[in-house]
Amino acid sequence: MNSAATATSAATLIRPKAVLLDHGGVVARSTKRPERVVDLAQRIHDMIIAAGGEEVPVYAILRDIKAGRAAYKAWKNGNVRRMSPREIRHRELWEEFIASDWPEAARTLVGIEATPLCRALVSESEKQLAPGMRDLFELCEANGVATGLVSNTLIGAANREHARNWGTEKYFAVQVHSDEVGRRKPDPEMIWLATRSLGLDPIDVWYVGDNYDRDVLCGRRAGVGCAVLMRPAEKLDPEADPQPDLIVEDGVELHAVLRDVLAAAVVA
Amino acid sequence: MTELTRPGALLLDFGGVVVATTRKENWREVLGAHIHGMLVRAGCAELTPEEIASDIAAGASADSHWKDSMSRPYDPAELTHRKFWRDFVASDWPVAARELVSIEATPLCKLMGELRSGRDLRDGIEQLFDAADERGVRIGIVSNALCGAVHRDWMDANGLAKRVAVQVYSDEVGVRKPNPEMVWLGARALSVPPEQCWYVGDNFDRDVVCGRRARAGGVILMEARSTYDRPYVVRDQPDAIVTDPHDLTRLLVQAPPRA
Repeated sequence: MNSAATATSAATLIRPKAVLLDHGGVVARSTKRPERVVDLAQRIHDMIIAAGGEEVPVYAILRDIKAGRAAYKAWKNGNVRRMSPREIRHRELWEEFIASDWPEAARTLVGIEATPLCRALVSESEKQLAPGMRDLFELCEANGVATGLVSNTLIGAANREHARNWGTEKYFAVQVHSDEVGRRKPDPEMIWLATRSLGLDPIDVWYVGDNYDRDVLCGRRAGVGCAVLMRPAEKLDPEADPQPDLIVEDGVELHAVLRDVLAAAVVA
Repeated sequence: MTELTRPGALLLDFGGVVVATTRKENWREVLGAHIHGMLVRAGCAELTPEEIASDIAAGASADSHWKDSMSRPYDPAELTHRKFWRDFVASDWPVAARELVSIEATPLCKLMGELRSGRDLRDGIEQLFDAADERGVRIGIVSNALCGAVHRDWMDANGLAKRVAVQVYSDEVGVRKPNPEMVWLGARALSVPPEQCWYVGDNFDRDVVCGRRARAGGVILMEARSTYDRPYVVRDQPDAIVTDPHDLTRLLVQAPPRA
């Protein structure tokens, strides 16, 4: 086991019956493709014209997408304080966060087309399966440990499609996506939905996320047996409260720790 | 019956108007086997594939009755994906199984939409779209759907998505026909007042009623498989009845421009 995990030795970590994972930052790594948002703004511009609406210039659409996303981010950050934050609805994001000051026809149009537009919006970050993840899933499968996703996302359909394309869908016993269930982490219900669907007590699962205020907090609120933070050493915050039970750099390290825990549990 | 004048926008139902829908054989069994696999993987082995298929059939039947009843309220909301699975299919399942299908409700609704129905483009739709384009009449889809994504995929795969200016699906917007907001959403998005829209659907209690409530300029019934299976007496009558898209094209071509 390498340095970051040594704070907690494998012997003190519970053997999980399930490992629940965040998507972005844990299962997936992303590369930004800002040009895709420009393409999206052009597409929206053309949609509005085709529908006979008053023109909204491409630069204004792009500006309002940026403003709407910044507002959505602020809304999410504020809602972290709540016990049970809800997820935004696709229509709400487009009609109220992005297009509030557009002509009525254009605002109505993006509201109606909000679901496919959200799908296009998230494609700005191109996702790859993170290093170590496939090994982790195979390790879990070989040891009878269930795996599942618990993700805050604007559109779970995109994550589901990635899982199909990467061939990882078969490993997940359940996928909890916030837009589909209407709630967001750190609402502990996000984790409890998964544990109830697996017939498990939260104390018997590991929950792995990449940030403190959604993920570690959500794991604590839900009472999981091990709240794991996946985060590079230079981004750790010793002042954050609550702190995780285990810190790993990436999927490769998570795989190594879990392998040791499973091996130790067999010996014990 | 008022005389129909050429509309500014043509709002079309999807099933029964753009496509003829057929029920596929064995969809419940195929879906039941799929869900059984999901449940087993999640550690729930208490339900057999046959029991699951039976509850899917019961849920679909309950959903049909619910939809029939929802044509009576003025402004009904659409069922959510979660409610369909949780309340109509899985009420008496073990907690873990009910929870799992609730969490996975959106992809399950999509899969069900793909497995349950065959969709064939109704003959004459392309000519209808051409005739509308030639006259500057904008086209929109206004459809009740448990999973509009299935219809969007079909429109994309058949090259029709780019020919319509907007697609309004009830599960995405949260309201369902005969809620007049469905037609008003389409009309607002196309900048055409409802009085200058034609709304074309294939049944009385959703479509004709919805067109009337929305005060559409033309309420047109297109005959399809189950047009005359009315769940109860519907007093509203359409402004015109057409047999198919060719017939609708004739109506559109003959309609005089607005004065």
